[in-house]
Amino acid sequence: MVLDNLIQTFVFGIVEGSVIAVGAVGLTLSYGVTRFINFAYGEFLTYGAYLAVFIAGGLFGVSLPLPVAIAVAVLLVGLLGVAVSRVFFEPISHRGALPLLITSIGVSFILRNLLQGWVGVDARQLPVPLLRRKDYFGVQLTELEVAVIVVGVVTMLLVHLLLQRTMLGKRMRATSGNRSLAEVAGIDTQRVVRQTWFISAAAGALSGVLYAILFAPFRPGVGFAYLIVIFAATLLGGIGRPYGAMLGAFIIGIAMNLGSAYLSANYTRAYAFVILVAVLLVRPEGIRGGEF
Amino acid sequence: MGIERRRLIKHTGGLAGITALAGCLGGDGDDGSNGDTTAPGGGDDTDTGGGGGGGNNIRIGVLLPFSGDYGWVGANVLPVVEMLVEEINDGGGIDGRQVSIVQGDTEASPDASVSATNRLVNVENVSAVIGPTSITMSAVIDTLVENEVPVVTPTAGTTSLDDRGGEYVFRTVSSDSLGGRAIARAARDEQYNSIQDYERMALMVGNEEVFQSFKEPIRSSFEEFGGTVTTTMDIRTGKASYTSEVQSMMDSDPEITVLVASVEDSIKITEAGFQAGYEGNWFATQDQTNQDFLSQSDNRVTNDMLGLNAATYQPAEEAGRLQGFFDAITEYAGWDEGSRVFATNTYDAMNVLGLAMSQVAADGDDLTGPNVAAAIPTVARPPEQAVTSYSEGASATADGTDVDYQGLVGPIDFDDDGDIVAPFSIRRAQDGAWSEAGRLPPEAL
Repeated sequence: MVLDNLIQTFVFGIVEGSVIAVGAVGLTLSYGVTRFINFAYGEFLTYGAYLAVFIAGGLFGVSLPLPVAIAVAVLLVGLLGVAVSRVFFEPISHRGALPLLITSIGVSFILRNLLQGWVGVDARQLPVPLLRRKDYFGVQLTELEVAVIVVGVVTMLLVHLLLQRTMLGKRMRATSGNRSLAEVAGIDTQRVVRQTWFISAAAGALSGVLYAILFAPFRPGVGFAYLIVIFAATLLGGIGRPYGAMLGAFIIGIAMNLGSAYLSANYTRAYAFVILVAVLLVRPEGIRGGEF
Repeated sequence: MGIERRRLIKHTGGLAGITALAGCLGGDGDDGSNGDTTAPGGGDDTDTGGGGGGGNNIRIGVLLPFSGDYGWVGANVLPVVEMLVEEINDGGGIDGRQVSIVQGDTEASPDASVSATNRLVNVENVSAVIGPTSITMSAVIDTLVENEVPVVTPTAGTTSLDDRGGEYVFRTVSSDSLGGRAIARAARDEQYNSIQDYERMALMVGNEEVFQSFKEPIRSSFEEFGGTVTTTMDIRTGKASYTSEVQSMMDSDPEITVLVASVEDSIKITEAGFQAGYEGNWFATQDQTNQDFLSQSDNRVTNDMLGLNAATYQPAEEAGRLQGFFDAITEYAGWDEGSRVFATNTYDAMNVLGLAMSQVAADGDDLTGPNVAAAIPTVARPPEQAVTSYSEGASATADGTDVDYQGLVGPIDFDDDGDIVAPFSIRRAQDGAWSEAGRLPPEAL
């Protein structure tokens, strides 16, 4: 019984870790290539979730099936990410990290309030069925929770293949490692940066959709609030390191669930930070120090 | 929301007109916006009072959340206040003065409520306040009482008012201690819930004043009625997920779980219970016993769920007054049903306040805070002539008759703490709609 509960809680942590991992990978990729922390990233989560709701609900005249709606929403937010970077970040990209960071906070406010002005502050839910948990090898999960883990793992795998096996991935790694050297070597780094923004924002949107599947109903502030958890995972993994971010995400997810179940349920997100602070004190570069 | 914003702009705009342009332009502005608002604002008296819009009006502050999660409270209350203010003004106003409404948006947050209250009291100089809710009561009550502003709240059940009030603060809604007792009684006794005599109860209570206020009354009453409380959990409001909380609730093995939380958190909690295979029932407070909650929830989760509501007051129903009010407010406000939460409470609050003012005027006294506050219990208590509306009561007071206002939610006889007793209705959810499972008269508590 005690062991069952522990395993169950652990698996819940992995479910939430999958959501965090998808978001953390997107954030850390954009940091790796652009070298600034994008505070507007949380809005990509929010936009992903809301667009999925509205596209599935007939935003474009027809009600698309939810998986299609999610795919369209993720693509649209990817394009939004490219647009945001071109309008706000590229013009000041030579000014260093601090102006970019402050700008991203402003962009976050703009995006959030635009959404709020459009859809209001009412709570929304994705049209997903409510399911009872089933038994999978002694662990109780709903099919949706299983799907979230699968989507999370597949996304990790795709990012891995992208970075290791494709030309784009190699260019991204080169740009991340040394931008001037990459340019000298003939890589169009600006193009790489834009492609990275697309992938980053799309990953954010997907993470937002997964969040919305697990934790409905949600409101326009959802992404910004969850951003701190994603930050924790990203920093824990060593910022700019995709594999570290994945590992960090699962540690944070499990810590939050174990803490909620065995210490006090009132401080869920605080456990993420306790771990983060502890790791940073001992190993400030994060648990994974290598390059990407 | 559009109308309310416009009105807010009108009032703040009117204020700017007074201070900046001292007169003519402010008057024009008010006249312009007057056409589509219900409360004749400053427009009428700028002709007579040179000082500026509304200077001679009796101002009534409506201090409630108009935006945010609890925006529905303001949206349910304001049209009723407006309808009655229109009735008062159509009858010639009070003491020859028109009544106007000033909104103060508490946003259901203590910070915002303090600044809204300061504005109503110090800038707008309101003569009385309708509101606030339990959420912000403790943040603003001292300011209101110290400034001698009479307060009649249709929305604050908080137990923190149980032994306060009666001098400046009155309410036309039952105290949560009665509500909590009603939940305990109804859960314990099949004749009130139409399902079973529940013996084992768990309590999940949000960690805010508005929710915590219910906790002790439910817990102690349920034990007093012979039940067992398996666990009493404080839960943090606004969390993403309540899986852990629901798990510990289920570990205590209750037959019914009383959920004192916001609509949004309640959806998350009940769905988490469904996912985890919880087989007990749920009991909700007034906050969730509405269509909003059911329409956002899955019927498989909410079927047979119990809820608490204020019951209709039999004499008001039998005399057709309740239906009359529903017809009037649906037509006036364009609602699809008149029985919105707090609507009847507001009707009573505003009538009592209007009658108290007209009583003060009939006595030839000034409409000061202490005078109006002192008149509030007298116009509502027997044994004088029973009246059921402002117009009826105002003509009686003008003739020198003392009146006893009989409301829609109850006889509205304020006790020494400014509280009333009223019957409760126990609702049961079935296929996405609430219906009455039983009725709890005050004597049963």
